[in-house]
Parts: sequence; structure tokens; C-alpha cells
Amino acid sequence: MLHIKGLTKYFGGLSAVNELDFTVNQEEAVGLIGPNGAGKTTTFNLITGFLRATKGTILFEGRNLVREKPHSIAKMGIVRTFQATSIFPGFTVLQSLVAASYLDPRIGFWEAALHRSSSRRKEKDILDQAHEILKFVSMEQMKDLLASKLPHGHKRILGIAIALAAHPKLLLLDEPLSGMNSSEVASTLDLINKIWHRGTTILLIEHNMKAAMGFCKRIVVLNFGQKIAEGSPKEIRENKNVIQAYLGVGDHAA
Amino acid sequence: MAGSNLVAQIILNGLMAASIYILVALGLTLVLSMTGIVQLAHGEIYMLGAYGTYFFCVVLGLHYLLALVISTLIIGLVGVPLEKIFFRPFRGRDFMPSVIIAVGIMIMLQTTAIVNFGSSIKVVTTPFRGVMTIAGAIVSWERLLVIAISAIFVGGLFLLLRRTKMGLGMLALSQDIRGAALQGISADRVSSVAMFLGCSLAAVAGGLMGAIFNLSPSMGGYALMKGIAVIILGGMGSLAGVVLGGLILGFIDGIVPPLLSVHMANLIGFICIILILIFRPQGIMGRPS
Amino acid sequence: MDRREITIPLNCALILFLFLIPLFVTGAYQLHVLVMTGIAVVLTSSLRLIFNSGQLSLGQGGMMTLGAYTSALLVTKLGLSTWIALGASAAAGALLGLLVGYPFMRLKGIYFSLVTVFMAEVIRLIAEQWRSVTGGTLGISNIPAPDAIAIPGLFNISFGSKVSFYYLTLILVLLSLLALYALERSRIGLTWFSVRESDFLSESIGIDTASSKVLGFCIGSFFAGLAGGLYSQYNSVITPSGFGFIYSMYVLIYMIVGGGQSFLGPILGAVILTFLPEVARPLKAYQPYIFGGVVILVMFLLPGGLVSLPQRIMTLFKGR
Repeated sequence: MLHIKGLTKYFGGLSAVNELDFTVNQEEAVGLIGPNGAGKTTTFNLITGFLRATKGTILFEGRNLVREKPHSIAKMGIVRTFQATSIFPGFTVLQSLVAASYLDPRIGFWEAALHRSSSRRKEKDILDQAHEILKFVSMEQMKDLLASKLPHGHKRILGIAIALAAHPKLLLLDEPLSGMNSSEVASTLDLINKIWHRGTTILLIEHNMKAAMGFCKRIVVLNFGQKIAEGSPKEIRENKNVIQAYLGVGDHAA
Repeated sequence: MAGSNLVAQIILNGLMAASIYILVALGLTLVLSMTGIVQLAHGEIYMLGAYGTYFFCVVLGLHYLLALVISTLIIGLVGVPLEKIFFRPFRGRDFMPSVIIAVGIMIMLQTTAIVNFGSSIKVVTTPFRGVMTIAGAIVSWERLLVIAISAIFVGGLFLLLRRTKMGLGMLALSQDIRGAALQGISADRVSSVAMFLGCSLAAVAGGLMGAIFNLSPSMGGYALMKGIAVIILGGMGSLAGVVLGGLILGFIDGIVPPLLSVHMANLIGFICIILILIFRPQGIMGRPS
Repeated sequence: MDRREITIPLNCALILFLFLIPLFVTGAYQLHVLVMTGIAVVLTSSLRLIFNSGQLSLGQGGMMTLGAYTSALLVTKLGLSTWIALGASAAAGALLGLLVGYPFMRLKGIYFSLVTVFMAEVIRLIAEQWRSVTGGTLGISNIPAPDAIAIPGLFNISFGSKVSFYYLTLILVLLSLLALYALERSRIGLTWFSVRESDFLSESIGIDTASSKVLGFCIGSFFAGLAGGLYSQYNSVITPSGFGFIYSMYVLIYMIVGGGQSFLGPILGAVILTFLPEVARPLKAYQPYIFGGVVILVMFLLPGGLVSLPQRIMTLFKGR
């Protein structure tokens, strides 16, 4: 589904990502790990168009994403979450999902402006859809809460829910578990698992090793912008390069 | 003889215009990037500098240079409590109220000038009348003075920013380097210093310009426009870019009018800026957003 | 919908009142103030639309000048009907917005605002320098009032008097506000709000944030151009500096002091702050101090604008 070849990104003289090659196949759950600054989020930014690659190609279902704008890439089916919590602070939970669901182009602009009955029906569909997603992520009780007032863990889940509302074929999750306590981690992993089982392909960046190894079927390890290892969690755990990369960073162990 | 005279005049005019533009734009960019204030009253500070110099020189009878220095210092110092009272409470938060307040201040400053000095045009004469000859061309002292004083200020500013701890701290803060706060550089102090410098630059520019051209309470708007144009052209957030932009626009305004017309000067300047916006929106030396 | 039951009759009563004003306000100067207030309301509300779509334009005055000159030139030089000219003035605003929108949108925040200031200045310069077409600094004069609307046998509305202009302005203002409100409540309005809340999040779920912002800018400029066209036909004289930087600033002040969050805010701001200088007129030269002082005071005490006054009073009473 997603083929990355020779992906390179230079910032001035520094290469954040260097000749990266990897693939994500349909319905896989792939993890992208590596020490801080390895270029994982940069890779996400490159895939989703928030950064323009210096070199290389990113093929998604045959199309090269390299010159596309982020919103076009999203419409093609790749949706991401962000490392820093990204929600619509002024919206309620429900409103956030309704807004996100407008990715559906079926309501014409003028239709909505004039509030015709056909648009009203589709607006009802969107509302139903939003409710469905809320149920799926178990946040129905909070639907009228202001997004900015949610506790941290729920903000992150909302971020995932917003991404879901955009009907992703490939979901890129950027450290979805950061800042969560162990019970939140468990329920979020559960949710991601549910999403995966529904048929969404997942590419996950995560610092929480246990979670990443436990959930992902295949892991890609980055360091200094390059792929240093790839394989099953077991293979990665025993890979000398990987261990080196994590322990060899500065004076402290990862 | 006449030819080299004309060339000398043109270059001089260009340099002079560039000097003023650079002073104003540097002051504006300092304030913009280091205090976070959208200093729309910058033009009025310039205007106050002109009127201040007029006051000390013409009304009180001091020597022009003395008047210039005093006026500049006073206005620069006035800027500090201005920043502290009116803008600092809003720093970091929604910038909109501070924009409105800047405009409010702008209105009040203009009114102050009109009330105190009347809306008629004023003239400042400097003791530096007369001309001298350089390389066979006749140049006026006044224009040379403007260029010289501007150079001193600009040079002094760059030294301050590159060589002193405060200066380096200001540069760091303007680039949002998180470490700046960790190194104990106080954002408050930086804001005060930046405001002082920014206002001083505008004030001295006004004082200099007032000697060449006439004063009117609405002269500030023109200065603000030029300052903005220079920043757009030379680069948002880049001091060297501001100097470059000022030189370019200054020379356009110095060279084109005698050869073609003032209209063409404006037009060419305008085309340059549009081109920059289309092809390099961050300015010639600006950092990409 | 309890609130609806109150606001709709209230609005109707207000509109009725506005229509009846000329019955007891007859002075030419007062009517002039009302017309200018109406124009200010349109400009301020359209600025709010642009602001809500994600960027802040400080060039509404420039768009207004553009509209004014477009309308004036079409009527005086080409002899077109004033109504067509009015439409053209609005279209001119939208077109310019479209033309400069995409390049401008690449600039972030305050630099976008600065560039719109510059754009307005360029418009002013062109109006001033293109003497052969625009009459230079003297501007265009003897612009005729709107053509009469006549249906033979039924009625003939001519626009010679201030009262007729008041009604024309009132109707245009009400229609504009209606359109602006509808847009805000529509799907595109929701898109604008999402983009404003978080533009990279919106982009990541498929919203074309650039186009969304450009659309907002175009529509806002449309109404500014319309206001300009109306003004040219009202005042019969327009000059390049009539609506420059200072005026754009005033429009911004009206919006923020009135309150940027609610639809009512800009309207309130425009009305109150247009009336304020009139009320302070006896103070003559010192009047701007009052204006500036009020503006600064409001920003300190009520950062949310005048609209937030009821809320503030309530929080004070609840003792926090």
C-alpha cells in the first residue's frame, strides 16, 4: 500500500531522513521506533505532505505523494495524528467529530448554505456518524464537553477519533500513548487494535517499547534518519544494531 | 563636471533615503521580533522624534545635534514604560488587544502633536547649511550628516547585538530558542531594551528627516509604510535583510525620481515587493516560515 | 429553542425601528452619520468574516477604495447603470482578493496583515498616480447618485435625498448582514472555524486550508468593495486617501472593541465607535483622546470586547 523509496530530507546541511526505504502493506500494523531525533516524526511529516522531501518517492496505492498538499493526501486516505495533542480546543467533543466528518464531499457548499432538506438529511447522516465514532472510542458520555477541558488521555483519544472521522485507509499514529498512565495505555491500545481489526492499516510511532512490540506485527527501526533494522518484534529485540542505537545515545540508557 | 555632480547627487540621495528607511525598519523589526508587539505606532514615534528635535532645536534654541540626541533619548526612554504598561500584559497571549492598543496610542500621539504644535507644517533648520565638494561634485552637508549619523546608529546596533550579552540574548529570544530562557535571559528585560532601541531608532530617523524635509503630524504614516515595505522586501526577522531591503528601496527612491519620475519610483518599488511576495514570501533574507 | 423565541421578535422590532428612524431624525448631518455607520457596519462585519477564516486583513480600506473607484469610473467614464457599477465594485473586491489571496496566504499571521496594509497602500498609490484615469489626488467628483428604480405606473424611487440614501444603505446593510450570518452558519463557516482552531489539524483531515482562507478573504473583500461602491454614489466625490490605512485601522478597532467572538460584536463596535466621536464633537481637537482612551480602556478591561460585558458583569456578581 505504502512504498517509501530513497526518502531523504535535508534541513540546511543536516539530513533528518536519509535514503529511507520501507513498505507498509495493506492491513498491516507496523511500528516505527528509534531513539529521539531519529527522524520518525519527520518521516510522518514527509508522508503526509507537511514537509516536502528533498529526494525519493512515496508511493501510496500507486500515486507519488511527494508533491501533494497535506489535505489532498488526507483525501486519498492517509490520516495522521500529531505528537503534540491536536484537537480543536474551542469545539465540544461532538462538534469536533462533526467538523471532521465534513471530509465527506457529498454536501455541496450552496446546499448547506441554503439549508435545503437534502442537505439537512446528509447533515443528519454526519451527526449519526459522529455519534458512532464516539461510541467506538467510548467517549459518548463526554460528547458535550469542551475539548480543551478534557483530561490529557482523553484529548489524545479525541485526536484519534478526529482522525477516524476522516475515513483513513492508512492511519499514522504519532506517539498516541505519550503522557498516559498504564490503564489509559491499555484502553488506548485496545482501541487501536479495534481500529486495526476493522481493516485500517496502521503505522505507529511509539516510545513505549512494550506497547509497540506487543501490538505491531512488524517493526522498522530508525536512527539518525536511516533504517537500521526491520523485522518482527522478536527479531528487533535481539538485533545488535538496535540495542546499540538505544544504549549508545549519550551517557544515559534509553 | 555636471555629469559627475548629478551622479553624486543621485547616489547621495539614494544613500540618504536608504539610511532613513533602514533606521525606521530596523527599529520596527527589533520591536516586532523581540517584544512581540505589533508596533503600528512606530510611525508616530518617528514623527515624535521629528517634533521633539524641532522643539529642542527651534523652540528652545539648542544646537541641532544636541536637540537630536536629547529628543532621541527621551523618546526611546518613553517607549519603555509604554511597552511595560500597555503591551507587556498581553505578551504571549492573543495579540489582538495589543494591536488595538498600538493603534489607540498611534491616534493619541498624533493628536498630541496636532494639539501641541498645530497641524501646519514646520521647518527645522540645521546649522549644517552649505555644501562641500567631494571628487568634484557638490554635495550638501545635511545629507552627508544623515548618512553619517545613520551609519553610526546602525553600526552601533549591530555591535550591540553581536558583541554584548544582552544583545546576543535578544537575538536568541527573537528566534524563539527555548534555551534563551534557560540561560537566564529575562524576556522582560529584552523587551524593554528592544523597545528602547526600536523607539530610539525611529526617533533619530524622524529627527534627521525633519531637518531635510518638513514636519507634519501625519508624516508618521509614510514612515510606517516604508518600514513595512523594507521588512517585507529584505526579510522578516532578518536584520541584515532589513539593511539590504533599505538599501534597495532607498536607492530606487533616490535614483529613479530624478531620472524618470516619483511615480516610477513608487511603481518599481511596488513591483519588487510583489515579486518578492510571489517568489520568496519571506523576503530576500528572511527565514522560510 | 428558547433563545430563538426571544431574538427573532427582538430583531424584527429592531429592524422596524430602523426603518422608522427617518420619521424623527430629519437633520441632514444626522442622516449622514447613520449612512456612514451603516457602511462601517458592513466593513466591520466583513472583516470579522475574514478574521474568522483564519487571517487578519488590515486592508479593508483599500478594498473599499478599489470598489469606490470601480463604481465611479464605470458610471462616469463608461456611462453604465449605477446598479451594475455597484455590483462591479463588489466583484472587484472579490477579484482582487482572489488574485492576491493565494500568494498572501503563504505568509503567517502578522506578516499577512502587514502585506494587506501594503496592498491597500498600493491601491492608494495607483489611484493617486494614474492621473489620466483616476484624476490623481483630486479624485473623481460629480459621481451621480444611484439611478432611479422605476416601474411605470407603480412607483418611481429616486435617490436624490439623504433619506432615500438612508433606506438604500439600510437595505444593503441588512442584506449583507444576512448573507454574512448565513455564511457563518453554513458548512463553509464550520470549515473556517476548524481552520482557525487548528489549521494543521484541519489540513490533516482533508480540509484545503489555503483555499478556505482565500475564500474568506474574497468574500470579505467583496463586501468591502460593495461598501466602497455605495459610498462613491452617496458622496459623489472620492479621493485616493479617503479610506486609507487609518480607516482600515478604525474598522479593526470597531471589530475588536465590539468583540470579535460574536456576530453582534462588530456591529456593536461599529455603531458605538462611530457615534462616540460625534458625541464627543464639542471637545474638538481633544476628541481623539476620548476615542483612543475609550479604545485602550476597553482593551484592558474587556479584552473580549464590549459584547462580553454582560458575561463579565455576571462573573463579577457571582463572586468567582
